[in-house]
Amino acid sequence: MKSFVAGMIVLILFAFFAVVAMQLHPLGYPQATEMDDYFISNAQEETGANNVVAAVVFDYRGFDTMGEATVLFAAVTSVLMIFWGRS
Amino acid sequence: MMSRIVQQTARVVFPLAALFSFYVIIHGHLTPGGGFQGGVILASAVALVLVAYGHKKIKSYRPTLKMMFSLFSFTMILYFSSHFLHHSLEQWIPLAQAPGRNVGELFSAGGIPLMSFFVGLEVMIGLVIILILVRRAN
Repeated sequence: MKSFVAGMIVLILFAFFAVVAMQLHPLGYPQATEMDDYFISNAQEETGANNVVAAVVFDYRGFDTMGEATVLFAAVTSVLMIFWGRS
Repeated sequence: MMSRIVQQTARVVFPLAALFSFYVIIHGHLTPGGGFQGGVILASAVALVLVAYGHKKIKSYRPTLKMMFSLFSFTMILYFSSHFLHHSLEQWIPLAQAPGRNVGELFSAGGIPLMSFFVGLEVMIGLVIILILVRRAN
């Protein structure tokens, strides 16, 4: 009985996710392209960087990258904290 | 400690990987890649050396935890200062249009290569610290 219920749950979940996956929007055809078009056409003029990804990462959303650096800092500091008393 | 084949391969691969990582970091504003990716490449090269030679062979230089922490904090401060420098100056100086700053050259794009370089330094040093600590633990 228990395994039957578990199997039914797995089947229902599988059917649900399969239906959702069938109805996904196709890759490569985004629905809202205003921001992408703005970056592609203006990033080189505004920042001077050829690499649009670098322009976005370091200039347009520079504070987000700063937060990522802070996350890395916290991770390395916690690893150091674990090893602090040992050697 | 692994076999001699692995050691010689690591000996050949490490300088190439280090050079490639510096290339990826320095050309962060021109080609795909950037600070994070280049730092991770060098960290993987260091991981290869640590796996091949073991920690006991590389005993001659044993940095303490305080040294590691201060070095890492220093790169963190460098990156933060370059970030604030770029984002405060770009309101007043159009860095991309300044004379001699042609798009596509190595020295262009204002503070973006600087930030990329410091992010690469920070990621590199942080991951190498983690690798050395984990290798030292066992």
